[in-house]
Amino acid sequence: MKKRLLIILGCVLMVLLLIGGVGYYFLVIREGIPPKVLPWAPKVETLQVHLYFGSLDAMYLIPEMRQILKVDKLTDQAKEVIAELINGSQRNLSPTIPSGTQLRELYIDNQKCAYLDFNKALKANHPGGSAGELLTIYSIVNTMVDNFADIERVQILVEGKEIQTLAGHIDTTKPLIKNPTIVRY
Amino acid sequence: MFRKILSGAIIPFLLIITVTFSFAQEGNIKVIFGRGYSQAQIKSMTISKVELIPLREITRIFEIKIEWDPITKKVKLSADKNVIEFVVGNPAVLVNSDVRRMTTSPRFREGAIVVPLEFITEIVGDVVNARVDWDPLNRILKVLGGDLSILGLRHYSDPKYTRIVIDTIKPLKYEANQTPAEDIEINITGGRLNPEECSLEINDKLVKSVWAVQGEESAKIVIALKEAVNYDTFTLRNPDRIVIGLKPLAPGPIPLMESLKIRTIVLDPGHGGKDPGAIGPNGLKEKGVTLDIAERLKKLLVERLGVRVVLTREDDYFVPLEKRTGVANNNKADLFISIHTNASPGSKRSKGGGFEVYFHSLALDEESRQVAARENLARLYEEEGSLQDPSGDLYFILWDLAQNEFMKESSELAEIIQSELDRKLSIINRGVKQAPFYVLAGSTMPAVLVEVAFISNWREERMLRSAQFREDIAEALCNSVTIYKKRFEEKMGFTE
Repeated sequence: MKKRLLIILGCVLMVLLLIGGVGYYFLVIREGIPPKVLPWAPKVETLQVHLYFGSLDAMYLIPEMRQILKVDKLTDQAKEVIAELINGSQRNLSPTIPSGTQLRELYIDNQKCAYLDFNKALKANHPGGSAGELLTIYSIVNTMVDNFADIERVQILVEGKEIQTLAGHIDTTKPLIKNPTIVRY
Repeated sequence: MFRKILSGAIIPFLLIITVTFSFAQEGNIKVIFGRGYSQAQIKSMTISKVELIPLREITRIFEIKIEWDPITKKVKLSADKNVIEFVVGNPAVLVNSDVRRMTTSPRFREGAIVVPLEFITEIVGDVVNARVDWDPLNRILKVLGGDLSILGLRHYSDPKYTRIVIDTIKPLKYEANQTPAEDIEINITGGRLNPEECSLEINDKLVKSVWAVQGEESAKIVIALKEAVNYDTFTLRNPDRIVIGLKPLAPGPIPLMESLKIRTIVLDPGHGGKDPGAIGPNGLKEKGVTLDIAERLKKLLVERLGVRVVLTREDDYFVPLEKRTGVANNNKADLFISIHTNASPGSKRSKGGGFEVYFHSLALDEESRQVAARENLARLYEEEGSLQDPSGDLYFILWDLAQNEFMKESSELAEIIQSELDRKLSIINRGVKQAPFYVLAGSTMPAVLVEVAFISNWREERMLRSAQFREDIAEALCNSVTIYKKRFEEKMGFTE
């Protein structure tokens, strides 16, 4: 009886190990995603950031304050901010990031330039137009530069590559600096 | 008992991994050195369409030292004084503390580190003493240079200037000096050359000959002159080369606001072909609207002003942005007007509406200013005979002045267009704005981009469908050019 229980337990363990192993292989070895370490004693510390969304007439960017979870690493914090920007406004402001957009990776080099690598939805789902393109680009650039002293310029990448333009107008082959002229409070 | 079950669980797990590994496709890459006397083979594998190569093969072929820390998974490669560092599983690569990024991360395969093919072509080629070219059709990696970092010399003699090009295998640091004997010496750090391949008898108006000396750590190339010159040097990539432009000391004509009359206007109907531009809520496509307005405007301009009008596209086909600016520059246009319809993100009932006029922003594009100046100079040098008068620093100052002048003129044209559209159209006037537009950045004449209305706004989409509305826009733009032309030519001392 005890033996049978052990065998069942063993089988369950085997299946779990298998799932874990295959999962580990796909996530960590194949895709190169490092396992997330669970915070054992989560300290809830928040950070006030401001996110730029579009005005309803697509004329300006308007900042929106938000409290987000504070994390240690600068790049992780910057990723959190972009995730909030993608989530959209909690007030009645226009979204600036096309639907389906995800940030794939984010780096900051030693010249205070942040490289933001988005999936192809940023370009593919963009509605076009100079006004729309300016709002998308500078909501990203202004949000990054304004919230982080260690970011002065932003290079937008799509699927790991530089793109000429997002929708045929604004030059995105080079890092961009903050555009204060498009902001209204 | 437990131990037995555990090991029983691990074996199938390992089995699954081995099975998955064998999905990788294998391939061969041929490596040819120099003129092909020496060859090698690399085995590669293709996993989810990415071709990967064992790192060991690369370090063996290029004689790179490899250090590996199994705990941090950090790899350090050193060749000469160059260092490449990366972490397995991370696509970022540090090349002499310069961050690069690969499209695929280095990873482990069968106990070895593998890297994508681009690691060789994009990264290794820059640090080893060789130029690496990848021929995907024949699957051949060509490694040029070997010992030599300077491949040879070329020259071009124009009645107005002489250009000398030094072909190198990678960007090399150099210093140019004028000797007391009035020759120009170029000292190239890390330059290794064959003196026989680096000598030229030129004997044109300015240059007698060019010869080279191989030093310990550097190479020296000497340009023997016939008369005193102004000279300028710069480097270009793909292929890597150092260019020396020489011209007589006497100043020539200044390329500032070259023509005093508005004779040629280039109109740029936005988007086209595979790129429909923005699409309205009821399916109207930007590319069709912009072409129609440009054609109407062309007709009006030719009829009323008798100017030459060139369109960057004359039908529904795709034209890359750089070609559009190229059409304007090559036609020596006096004005460039790009025509677009606007769109804004958000819901289908987008509230954005109205027209707006843009001109290029140098302030938001500070970095590209110098790049553009250099590239423009380079282009002028490289295109035989098209060069007006480049003379080193002076030319850059003039180019800057010209750009500022174009910017002032662009702003003036934008203001006129805004007020004319405002008079003719009943939609919101969103004003004149500045932004770093790709299509406006490289133009060497006053240039504006007009967003005539919002195609994403259902009301304005309906307006854009009507021929009358498009004609009104063309009419307003034609009036704007007429006003601008008159003002400009009066300023330049021409009156009708």
